[in-house]
Amino acid sequence: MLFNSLQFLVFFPVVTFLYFIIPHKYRWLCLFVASCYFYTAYVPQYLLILFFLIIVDYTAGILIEKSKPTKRKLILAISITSNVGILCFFKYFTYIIDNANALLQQIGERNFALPHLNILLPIGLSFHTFQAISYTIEVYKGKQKAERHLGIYALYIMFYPQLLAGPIETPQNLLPQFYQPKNFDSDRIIVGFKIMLFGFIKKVVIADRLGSIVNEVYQNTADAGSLKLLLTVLLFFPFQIYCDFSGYSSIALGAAKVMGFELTDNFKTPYFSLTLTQFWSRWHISLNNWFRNYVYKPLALRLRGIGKMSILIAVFTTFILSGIWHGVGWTFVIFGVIQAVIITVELRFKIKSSELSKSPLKKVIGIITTCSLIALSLIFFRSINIHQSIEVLTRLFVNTNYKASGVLSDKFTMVAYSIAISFVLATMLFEKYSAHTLLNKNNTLSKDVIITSTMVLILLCFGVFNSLSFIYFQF
Amino acid sequence: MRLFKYILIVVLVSVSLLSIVLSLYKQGRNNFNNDKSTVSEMLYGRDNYDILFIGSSRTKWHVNPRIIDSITKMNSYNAGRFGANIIEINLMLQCYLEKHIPPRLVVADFSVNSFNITDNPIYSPVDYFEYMNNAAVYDVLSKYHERAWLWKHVPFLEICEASEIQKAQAVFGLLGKREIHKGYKGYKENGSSYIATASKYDDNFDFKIDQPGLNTLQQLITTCKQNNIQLLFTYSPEFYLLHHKTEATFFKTLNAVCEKNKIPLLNYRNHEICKRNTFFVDPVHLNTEGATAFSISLAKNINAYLQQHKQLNNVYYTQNTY
Repeated sequence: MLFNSLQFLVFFPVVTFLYFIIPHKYRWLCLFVASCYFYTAYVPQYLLILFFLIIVDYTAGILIEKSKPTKRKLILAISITSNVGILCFFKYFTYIIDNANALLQQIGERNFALPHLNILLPIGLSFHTFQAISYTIEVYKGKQKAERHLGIYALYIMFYPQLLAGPIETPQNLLPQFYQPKNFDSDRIIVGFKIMLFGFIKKVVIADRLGSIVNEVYQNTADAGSLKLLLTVLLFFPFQIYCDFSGYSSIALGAAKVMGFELTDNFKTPYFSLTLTQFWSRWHISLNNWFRNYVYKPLALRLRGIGKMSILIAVFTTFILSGIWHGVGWTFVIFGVIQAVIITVELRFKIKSSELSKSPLKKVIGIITTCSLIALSLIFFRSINIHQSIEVLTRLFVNTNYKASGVLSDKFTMVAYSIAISFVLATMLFEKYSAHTLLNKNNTLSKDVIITSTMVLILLCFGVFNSLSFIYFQF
Repeated sequence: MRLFKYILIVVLVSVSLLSIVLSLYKQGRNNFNNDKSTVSEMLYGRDNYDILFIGSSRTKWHVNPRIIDSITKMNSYNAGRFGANIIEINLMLQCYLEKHIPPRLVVADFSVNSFNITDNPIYSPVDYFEYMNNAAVYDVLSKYHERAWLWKHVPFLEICEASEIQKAQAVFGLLGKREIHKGYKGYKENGSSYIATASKYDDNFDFKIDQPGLNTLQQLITTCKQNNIQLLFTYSPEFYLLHHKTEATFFKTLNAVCEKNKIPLLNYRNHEICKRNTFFVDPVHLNTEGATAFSISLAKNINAYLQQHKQLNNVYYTQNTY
C-alpha cells in the first residue's frame, strides 16, 4: 500500500483507532495483522518470503544465544547467507543472466542463452533483509538479547510504517518499544500528524512535481537543451530524490509517532553539508549507519595491519556495496566509486566540515561544491545505463547547446519551473530553520491549527495526485 | 479533548479555505478561456448541428467550422477534446444525443493512440467534474477511475486534480489575461509557428489497440446506425517525416473496421498537406494556416460525399482537393 493512496487514508486512522482501543497485551497482534495487510497490497505471495526470513532469523537469534562460540559463527553465517542469498536472487539474478548471455554472445555462443525467470523484486526486500541482518549480528555480538516472542520479532521486521523503505532500525531501538505501553497523548498525536503532513508535502507537492520534469528530460536526453538538462541535473533530480525519500521517511516517522513509536530520523538537511563525508552522515542515516557498523568498521579493523590502505579499501568497498544495494547495474557501481573517490580526497587533504564551518565564505563554497558533486554523481544514479550518463555529461560539458529559448520562451514551462524551484527553496529553508514548529509539543491550539491548515491547503492545491510510487521502493 | 478540537477546527478552516480557492480557480479559468467548454455545449447547448466533428486535439486544432460551414452550407460544430481517445470521442456523441436532434453527419477523427485506452483512459478527468451529475459522464468516469465517487461528492477535489496548466491558466485569468488563440464553435487556433527543419521524427511509443477500445468504437458505430446518422472516419494530416512504430497495425485495424461496417475513411496521412512543414506546429498538429488548408479540403470532401450521397464501400479517399 502506498502512503500517498486513498487506501492509506482509510487504513491509517482505522488501525490507529483499533490500536488505542484494544488492551496493550494484544496491540502487537493488531499491528502485525495491519502490517501483513499493508504488505499484501503488492504481491501477497511475497509475504511467504518475509515469513521464511522471519523464521530463519528468529531461530538463528535464539540458537546464537544458546550455542557455544564456534557454533554461533556458523549459525550467524547461515542467517546472513539466507538473507543475502534471497536478496541477491531476487535483485540481481536477472542482471547476472543478462550479463552472462551477453558474454556468451561475445565469445561466439550465439545459439545458447541462459533462461530468464520472470521474477519481481519483493518490495522493500533490501530494507528488511538489512534490518534482519542487523538483529542477528547484534545478538551475535551480545549487544541484544534474542527475542523470544515470535510475534514481536515478526513485527520488528514488518512494522508497517518502515516496512517498505526503512528507516533500517537496530533491534536496540525498536524491539523494546513494542513492549512499552503507549498512552493516548493528544499532543504527541498532533506532532506525529504534522510530521506526516510535511512528509506528504515533500512527496506529493515537490518530488512528484519535479519527477514529471525529470522523467520528461531523461526520456529524451538527446533532444533536451543543455540549460534544461543542467537544471534537471543540478536541481530537479537531486531534490526530487531527496523529497521523495525524506518525504517517505517523514510519513513513516509521523505515523509511528502517532502510535507512540520513535523511529530513526533518516535525514538531517543533507544539502546543507559542507563536505561529502558530512553529506553521507546526514543522508539515509540508518543505511549509512548499517554500512558503517557492519562493513566499514569491521573491514578497516581487520585490514589495519596494512596501514592507510585499509581505510582506502574499506571506503571503496563500503561505497561500492552501497551503490549495488541501491540498484542493479554498472551505473550504481560508478555512483559508489565516485563517492569513494571524493571521500578519499577529503580524507587525504584533511578537508573537514568542522574547519569549513568557521568561515562563512568557506561554508558557502563547501555547500555549493558538495551539492554540485552529489548532483553530478546522481547522473549515474538516474540514468538507465552508462551510455545515457555519458550522453548527459557530453550535453552538459562538451557538445553543449545552452540556449535559453528552450526553457524561457514557453511561459507554462517557466511557471512550472518557477513554482517547483520556489517550493524546493521554501522547503529547504523551512527544514533548516523552522522544523521545530512541527516538532514542538507545546504549541498553542491556534498555532497548530494554522500550521496544519496551511499544510493541508498547500498539499491539496499544489499536490500532484496522479502518481507515483516512491523511488526507494525499487531498492 | 484537545485532539478532537484540533481535528474539528482544522477540518472547518481547511474546507473554508479550499472553497475560497476553488471559487477563485473557477473564476480565473472562466476569465482565461474565451469559449464555452465542449462538454457544456454537448450537454446543454441550444443549437442543433448538421455536422459534428469528434476527436482529439488534432480535431480541435485542425477543423475550423467557419470554413466547413461556408463550403458545405451547413451548421457544424467541432467537439474535439484535448487528449481524447475513443472513450471520450464516444462520450461526446452520447452527451450530444441526450438533448439534441441527431446530426446528419458525424465525422470521427482518429490518431494512432485512439484505441489505446489502458494507458490513459481519460485525459483530463477534472474537465468533467461539474458534469458528474450526468449519468453518461459519471458512468464513464467511474468505470475508469476509482476516485470518481469522491470527485462527485467532494467538490473541492477539483482543485487537487487540476493540472498545472489549468491552475496556471486560472492564475493568468485572475490577473486579467486571456487566451491568445481564438476559438470558434469548438475550434481552437493553433498559432503560426511551424517546424523549422525538416528532419525525421520517430515515434517509438508502443500504442496498444485494446479490445475495449475497439468495443467502444463499435458502440459509436451502432449509436450512429440506430440514430440514422451518417458516419465518416478521418485521419487528419501528420508531417510526412513522422513515423509511428504502430502505424501499420493501426491502419490495418481501422481499415478492417471500415470494411466490416462500410464506413468511408478520409485518410490524410499521405496528403499534400503533410509535405508542407510550414503547416505544422509539431509533427502531429497543424497550425492555423495548416488547419485552414485541411478544413477546405475536408469540407470539399464532405460536400462531395453528402451531395453524391453514394454508398462508398471500400473507398478510402485520398483525394488531393486542396
